Amino acid sequence: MLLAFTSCNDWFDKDSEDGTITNKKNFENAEAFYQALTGVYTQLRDQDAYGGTLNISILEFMGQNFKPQNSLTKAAAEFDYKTLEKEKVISKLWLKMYSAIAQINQVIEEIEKTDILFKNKNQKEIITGELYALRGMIHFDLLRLFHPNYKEEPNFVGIPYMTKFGITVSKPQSSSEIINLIIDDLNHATNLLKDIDPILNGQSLTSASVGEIDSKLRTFQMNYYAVTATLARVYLYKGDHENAFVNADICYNHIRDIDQKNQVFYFFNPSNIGSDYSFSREHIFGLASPPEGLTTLSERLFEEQLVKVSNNFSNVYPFSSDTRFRTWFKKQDDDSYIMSQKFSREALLSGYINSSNNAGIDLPVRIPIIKLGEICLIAAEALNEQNETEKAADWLIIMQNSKDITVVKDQQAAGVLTQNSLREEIRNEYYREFYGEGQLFYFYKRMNDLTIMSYDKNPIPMNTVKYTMPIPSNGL
Amino acid sequence: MLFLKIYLVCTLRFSEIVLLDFRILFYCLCCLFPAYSYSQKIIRENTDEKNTLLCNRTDIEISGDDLRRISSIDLWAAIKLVAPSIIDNDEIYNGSNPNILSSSIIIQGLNTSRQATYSLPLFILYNTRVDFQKIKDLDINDVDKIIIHKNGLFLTYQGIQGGNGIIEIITKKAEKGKLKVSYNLDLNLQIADISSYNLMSASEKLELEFQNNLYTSNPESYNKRKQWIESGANTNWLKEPLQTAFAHRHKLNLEGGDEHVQYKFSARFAPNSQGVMKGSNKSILGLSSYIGYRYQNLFINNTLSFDEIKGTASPYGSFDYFSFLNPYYTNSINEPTLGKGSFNEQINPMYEASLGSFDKTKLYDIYDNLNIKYEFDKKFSLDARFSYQRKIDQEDIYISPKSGIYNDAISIDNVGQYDILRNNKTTIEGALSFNYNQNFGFSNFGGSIGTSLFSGKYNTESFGGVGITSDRMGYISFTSQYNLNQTPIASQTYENTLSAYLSAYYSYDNRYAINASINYNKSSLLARNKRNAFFYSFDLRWNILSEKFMSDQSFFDRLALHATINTSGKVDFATRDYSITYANNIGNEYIYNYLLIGTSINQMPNSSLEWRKVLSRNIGLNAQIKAINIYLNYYNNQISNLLAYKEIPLATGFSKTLSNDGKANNSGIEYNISALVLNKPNLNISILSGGIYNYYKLQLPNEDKQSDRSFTGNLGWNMRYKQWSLNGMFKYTLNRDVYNYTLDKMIDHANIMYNIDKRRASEMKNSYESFIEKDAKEITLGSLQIGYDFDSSISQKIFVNDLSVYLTGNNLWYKSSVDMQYGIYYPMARSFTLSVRATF
Repeated sequence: MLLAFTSCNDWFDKDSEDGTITNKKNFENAEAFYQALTGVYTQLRDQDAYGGTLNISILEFMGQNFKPQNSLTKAAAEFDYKTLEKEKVISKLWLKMYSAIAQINQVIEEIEKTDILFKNKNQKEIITGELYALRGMIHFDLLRLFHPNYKEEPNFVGIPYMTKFGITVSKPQSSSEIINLIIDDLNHATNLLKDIDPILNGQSLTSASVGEIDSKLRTFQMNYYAVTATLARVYLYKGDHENAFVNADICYNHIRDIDQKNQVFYFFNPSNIGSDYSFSREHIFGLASPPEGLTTLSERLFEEQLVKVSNNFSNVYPFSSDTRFRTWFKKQDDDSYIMSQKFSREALLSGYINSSNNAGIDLPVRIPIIKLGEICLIAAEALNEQNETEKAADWLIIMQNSKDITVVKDQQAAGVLTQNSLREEIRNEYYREFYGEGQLFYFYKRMNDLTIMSYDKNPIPMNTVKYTMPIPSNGL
Repeated sequence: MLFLKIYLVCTLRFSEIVLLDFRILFYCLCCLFPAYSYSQKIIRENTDEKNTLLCNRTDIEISGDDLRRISSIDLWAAIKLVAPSIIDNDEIYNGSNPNILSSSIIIQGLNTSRQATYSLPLFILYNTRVDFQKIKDLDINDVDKIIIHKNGLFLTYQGIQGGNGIIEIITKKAEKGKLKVSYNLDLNLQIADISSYNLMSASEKLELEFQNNLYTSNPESYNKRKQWIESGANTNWLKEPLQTAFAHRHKLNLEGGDEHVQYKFSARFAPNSQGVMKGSNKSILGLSSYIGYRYQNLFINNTLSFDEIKGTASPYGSFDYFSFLNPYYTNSINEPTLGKGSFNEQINPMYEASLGSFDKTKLYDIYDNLNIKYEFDKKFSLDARFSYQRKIDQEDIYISPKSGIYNDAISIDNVGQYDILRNNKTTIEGALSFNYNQNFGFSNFGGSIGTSLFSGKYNTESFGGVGITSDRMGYISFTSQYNLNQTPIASQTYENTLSAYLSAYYSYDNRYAINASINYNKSSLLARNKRNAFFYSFDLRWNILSEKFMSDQSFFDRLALHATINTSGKVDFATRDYSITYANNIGNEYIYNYLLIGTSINQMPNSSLEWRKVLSRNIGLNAQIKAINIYLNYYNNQISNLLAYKEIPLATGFSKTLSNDGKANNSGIEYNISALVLNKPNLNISILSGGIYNYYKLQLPNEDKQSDRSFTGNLGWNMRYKQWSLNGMFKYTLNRDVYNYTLDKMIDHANIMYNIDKRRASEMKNSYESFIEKDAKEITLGSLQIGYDFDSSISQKIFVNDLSVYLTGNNLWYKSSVDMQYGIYYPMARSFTLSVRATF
């Protein structure tokens, strides 16, 4: 009787298929989870999110690194959020970020209840870990955009922390509640990944087949070190220097523990950049972008519209030996500089193997999300703020060495290194290291700078309103 | 359609995909016709025999004879003319194309909002759901009567499938008696009617181009063209693909039987019926058998039919392309491109037609229907029904490698294309019902309880290959690779529906009758959370003439009132609208060249989505005054749960989801009058007129209220003088809103580079609203028929018992207040049919 009843219900459960597949049927297959995770990365690299708005289209203009070429970027540079929203910039960004979160939540729900067998070892835990970590990371960027400086207003209530797929929006929460939820998700991810992520063993020579997790491609995904790096970033934002350092230090283990030839990310030898103008080997995590993605956007901005760097540029890069200065920018006939090289079509990531035919291929430039340089900066800042300036200086020296500059090393040798001078140099490195990457605005906000230097080298008074993107009217 | 495809390919890069998608959707939805589930037993029993007066129908019946007075070959054309409540929106686009089905048919305004892309009523044949194709290709001579159900019991019985209205066709049963052989012959001639076109002449067009500064940089080109025109170049492209179309149809019918066994066998054959565009044709081969058996209280009958239908689209392609061709180009089949090297090159369709390219369809349909009835006694009976339909069709589209669309091809790997689209459909329906009926004094009461199951499976697949080396290698085996620009499209659609119903009726003294019914549906088409659907109907009839106070009047010969309230429904959504679905990010791989392709959630589903609900109320009158029959009906349909997008907070990850927030109201009056105005032994004349005034209001959230009112009517006459008959019918429309295609400059090719209609050139409208012509008035002489029935004393000399000959003309004349092109993708046609009906 019961059997008849269930089979009867099955009779009505017949779903039609037309190029789409129902959730239930989709996740009967282990590979579907990996594909759904890949779908999240693909959404994140959209031009409305990490593929444009969060770096060279909008956020870099807010960080005053470039001179606006049109009314939209001018609005960004002037923190005129109303005008930005007229073009739906903010609501599109909000939608893209939450759309990725929605899919993450849906897949987490499925993967945590599934009983199907994953034939690739640890794949289930790795995918789950990445999903949790991404959820934390995306919410953290939303927090940095839509909430004011954390230390100033920890009780500001703005964004909701979404953990469930559906049409109900969770109650918006305060900065301190959100940051704890972010840390919880990231910690959950580290627990899942810490013993099994293939990145822990570095690159293996055997290539993985399609659908398997390939150790060579781990920096295209939210790998274990990327999670600890993000944790370090979050703790620093929160002002928890102790934990910020611990996590930055764990991340650096990759450099310490793995033979150099097997490292998935590492600092370049300045003489060995090749065509990798964006220094992709330093990305702990970056999003892949097709040639029509970041590359095309960069060409449009810097080569067609000739967007120029800020008037403060020469103060940012005082040393001509700086590999970043030498590699990323191009001098124009009128002596001005454009960042036409960093994400250009010629900038290629070499040494990848096409899994379908084992031939070597060069990949187009990818979108940097978190880099080894930032780890050194976080470690240095965290130590320096805990009054361990000497140790902190060592971290900065490692980083500056790789860029062919010697400021801290020289200061150390001359005995003029102080906590304040190191603070100053960390700030300078934030200016240099993230040109075109959208991080400077976050830095200003974290530092709660009340005046920043505008793209035309005038001081701009800053306040909470300017530092806080308004939540779109249909956002909640 | 082939050419439509070709020129779309040249203009829009991926239009092929779009087009294929369109077709597949079309096929798929054609198959997805609404479910029919029940035995109509109790309705039939109520309407038949002694209770006729009481149970006069709320819906108009049209007899097969009336239909055959309109057209002797085209059932669908006859239905549209006789029933003003039917609106076929695609008519002006499809013209007289024999191979295309309308995708939007509206009955009594019920689905005016057109929630689904393809919106059709439910078609019922032999008590079973069938698709539109089957009705369209049914032989009009087999029809006993049709009923267009717009409200009441019958819609309730169809539950989630009844909401768009129902067209039911009842076929003739076998006639008892000794073997009767009959033969039908129809000879048909069609002439294209392109009088609605008003294109520019060569000199007018050139002048327009000149005025628009197209020649400022290139005066030589202007002078050259001017010279052509002066030397007589002025091609009337519209005439080029047309022909006078000829078709012949044959049908042989054998029938007879006694009290126990009746039989009927028929075969029909219509080979290569031409359409008015050169090269388009359609062939029909149909076989069918009916066997009825009766033994004591057991009745069994079975209908089995097989149809084979083949169609070929014109190699000249879509007709509208000819209206875009610049008239200063000369007609030549040797040039792939007209105006080669100029700023406005056009692919030459005459050249295209000379190639091996084709677009062919073939369809096979097998259908069986078995009915069993057992009468236990006068009171109890049991009905069982089973039907099975399997339909397979395939379309082959071949584009020759020499086609002009490959003019710019860089590599020969991608020239020449062969596509195959396949559909197949299997439906099984079974029903069982138990009926009770009893007389008790003046009372008659009864009831029915029954259940039915419907299971349908619909598959659509398309795939294609490219890289064909030679024009005449028109088969997929000659392609060298898959078409990389076009992924195969496929879908599998299912419907599993259960329904269970209970119905009871009571009548008293042939004066009052009451009927109450409920129907429960459960279906795979419905959202998981809302899978149980209930419907009810309640109707009252009052036969005023049977009242004592009416017994001494002689004015009325019939006077009855009815009132009905009922609900029905329709499912306008698909699985993805209520379930989470994923799609592949094809064309957007995550890591370049790494074959790492993700999947994404398509849309925010609404798991509580409900079917469209229609609450119908109507009240009507049936009267006969001497030789005048009057039917009047007022109806009001409240339509709720219409699909509408609802905005949701972006933090959900989506901006909208489907909701049931739309509402509509549809009301109006329908009438039908027939009067025998002259009735003499040798001459009788009757006049028929029907009409419907419909007012439709649509309210979707966050949108302005839309409303639409229209009146459509017909006026016809039947005249008989001795053996001669003369019948005709006009159809007319008042104040309907018509979309004027001809003024819409958003249409592809409504471009100064190409020829344009003078009306479009002079009056290009910019906003969508301005293409809508309010209060359009149209009138058509739909049919005119002259017939002669031979006196049997004459016909028997040639061994024929009954012999009749008819000449029928259709679409002979029309007039419209909307000045626009009619017959856009395929021309309209006037049709003349000579029919011979002989019984031996």
